[in-house]
Amino acid sequence: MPSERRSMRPPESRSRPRSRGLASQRLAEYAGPLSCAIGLVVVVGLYALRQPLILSPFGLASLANVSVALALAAVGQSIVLLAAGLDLSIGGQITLINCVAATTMGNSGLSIATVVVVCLLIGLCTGSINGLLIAYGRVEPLIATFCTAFIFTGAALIILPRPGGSIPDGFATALTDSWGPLPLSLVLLAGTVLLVWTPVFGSPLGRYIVAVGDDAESARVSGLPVRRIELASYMLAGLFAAVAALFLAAETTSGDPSIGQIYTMNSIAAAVLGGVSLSGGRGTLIGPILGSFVLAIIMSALAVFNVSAFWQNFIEGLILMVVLGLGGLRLLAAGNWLTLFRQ
Amino acid sequence: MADQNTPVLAAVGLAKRFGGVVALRGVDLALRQGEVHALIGANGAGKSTFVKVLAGVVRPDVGEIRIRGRLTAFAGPRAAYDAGIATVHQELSLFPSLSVAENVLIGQEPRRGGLFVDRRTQRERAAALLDGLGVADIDPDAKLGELPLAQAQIVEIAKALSSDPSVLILDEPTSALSITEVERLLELIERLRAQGTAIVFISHRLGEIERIADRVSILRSGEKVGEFPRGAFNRGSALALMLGESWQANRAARPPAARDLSAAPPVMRVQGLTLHRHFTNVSFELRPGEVLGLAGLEGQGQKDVLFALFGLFRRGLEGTIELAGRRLRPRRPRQSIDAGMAFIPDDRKSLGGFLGLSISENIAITVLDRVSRGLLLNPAAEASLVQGLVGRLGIVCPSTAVPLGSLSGGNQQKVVVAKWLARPMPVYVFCDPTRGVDAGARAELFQVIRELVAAGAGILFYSTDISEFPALCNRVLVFREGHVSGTLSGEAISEQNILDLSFREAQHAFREAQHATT
Repeated sequence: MPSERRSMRPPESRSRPRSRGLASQRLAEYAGPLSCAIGLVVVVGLYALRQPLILSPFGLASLANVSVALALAAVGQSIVLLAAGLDLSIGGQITLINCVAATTMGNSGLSIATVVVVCLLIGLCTGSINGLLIAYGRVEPLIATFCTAFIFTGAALIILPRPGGSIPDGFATALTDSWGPLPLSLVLLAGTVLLVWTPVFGSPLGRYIVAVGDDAESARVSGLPVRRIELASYMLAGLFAAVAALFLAAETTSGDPSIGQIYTMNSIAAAVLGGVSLSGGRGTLIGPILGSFVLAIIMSALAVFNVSAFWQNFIEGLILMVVLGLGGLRLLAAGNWLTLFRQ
Repeated sequence: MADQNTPVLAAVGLAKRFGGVVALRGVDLALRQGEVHALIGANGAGKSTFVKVLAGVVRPDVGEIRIRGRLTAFAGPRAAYDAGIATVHQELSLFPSLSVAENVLIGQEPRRGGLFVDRRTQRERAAALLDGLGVADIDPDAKLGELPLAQAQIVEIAKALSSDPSVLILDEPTSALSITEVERLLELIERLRAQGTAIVFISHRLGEIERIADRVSILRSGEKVGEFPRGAFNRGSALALMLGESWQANRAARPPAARDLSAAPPVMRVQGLTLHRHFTNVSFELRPGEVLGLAGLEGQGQKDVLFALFGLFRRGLEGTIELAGRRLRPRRPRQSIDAGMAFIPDDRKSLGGFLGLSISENIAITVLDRVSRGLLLNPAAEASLVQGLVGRLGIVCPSTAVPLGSLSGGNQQKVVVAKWLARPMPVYVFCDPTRGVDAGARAELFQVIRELVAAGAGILFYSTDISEFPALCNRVLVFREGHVSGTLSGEAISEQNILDLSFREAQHAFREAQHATT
């Protein structure tokens, strides 16, 4: 039956328009940041209803101050996540560097500038320990950073067994005060982003990080130095952790060997809230920053509204679950099982 | 219920298409009790799809399957299995960390008290099955992962037989076996036939087919083009049927073979390249402006040679490679790329393409250092480079900012090619570049290859579609079981000759073995 056969021939070209419009693609890319921005307005609005002072310059500065450390950690975490890695030691690194700063800045005779530089270098070092283990030692990121988290926290306890140390007032006010209506903590955040994120993601390295996160195998056959790129992503995360640790030292004017703990999970949560993909290759800068602000402000608002600390974890988990669940629903609508599993 | 003449299994008019690719066009096949029905065809003829349809893995678009005359539709592999059709696929489906007995009876463990696995019965039943296959020397308690491949293959067959099927489908069961192991397997098939099992047997080795098959069906491009009853099988007409006359007539423009290439010094020289268990003693020279094809049936080592040259095997490579006058010992792709080799893979999803990145980011990834101003990227230079290549290759996309994953297969492949055109190389390796690509995109890819050749690049070309070699290559190495079994050049490059070289050595080897055993 030749006629039937002819009808079975493949069409000349396979034109199944799977591509969505450009506008909706942009929208999808910024869905995370956008919903965070809306969330931020809602949260601050609700907060202000109860406590109108929060909209004064002093109130805004305090909101910024509770959020900036998490924002710094989340941006660092996002760099690692973009390269399809994971850093469970961000909290440990923050704790260690915080304790180093608190024990050396006040009473060791070293200048503040020296201590700051040393702290940033320690961040690069701790980051490169993670990076070397993962990229060259081929240890799973989850396991490698889980272990180093203990090491970093342990080292912090050796340096500073209980909260203490001292931070010079000058350093503290320089990072936490306001300049007119502008909180200096935001200047620190913007400055760090401008000096680290912008050059990295404006250069080939940033493109390579995203490429490795999207598909490490393709990156290898494209001739990219995959391991060096992975190492760089962890070093950058360490650097952001160091800045976060210095800011926390300024904010509390002391050191605390348990201060970093909450930042590991919260940095991941903020990144995910801000639309960074846990499987790598997808994310923006603004997303995790907005996500951090939403998360940090909700947490501090709960305290102001006299919600017990026991309930705070519960509520944070609930928020994350809803957000991630919504993301999952979108996937379910889009793909078949195979694409679902791959994501 | 049914009389003796009713086929145990009958497929009527099976058709299946995947996207734009038609895998089966109305295939009929009748399988009778106690009969070995062989299925042969070139790569991509539809054998595997046909087997998958019978096994319930793939659902046909059109056509019906009748079991002893009763119309049946399989909801899944389990349904086919329950209907008495057991399949041994090309890839083993065993669990290396479980014991042989556990593997054989997986999913139908004998129970004790309705809950616990009765290990003793399990072992006894597995041992009985293995004994029935004549391989009592396989210990049912051994870990499967510790067995050699040939024994694992037998375990897979024992597993298929554990449900006492009336139909057994064997998809290239001999491709991984040595000659004596093949002999044992064929004896086993004869024994099963004598017990009344109907068997579908797929193999590339015509000698085995002549020896064992009661009936031979030939597939070509998803169509059944011939069937030989026992005794009527004829090697010559079988090969002609596998190729088809239209293919010969259909041939695209020949490459400019008249051009004398021997004058130029080779851009690449490979000597005695060996990788244990993959290929042995492969030597060739590639001249600028030449397309050298690596042909053969699937899995004969030709693809592994290309992978090895590109540094995808980390160790074990012996022999020498010289590229652009310098020695190359490739252990990672970076080294081969730096030496001057670009690689366009068949699996653009996992090798070469970044589905989540934009078209522009994909193309520029190899040349970011060249479109940078100081440390920072220069978006204008990047955009103009990308625009130029998108135009040159005719990549159809709404914008270069959309992710690669949103394009069709052919356009994705063009983006991967564009990536390497952005960075000109002396040697390009095309590893099955047209797989899953439509006719239009294929023609455009060929045009790109011809342009590269005209510009003086050397091309290594491998394809699973045998008709592409005559259209493109100046010279072709035909691979057979990891060796180069012959070299064709110029007019001698034809599908007929390639297939002939692909099959011939197998039948020699088989005859020698038969002589040795008698």
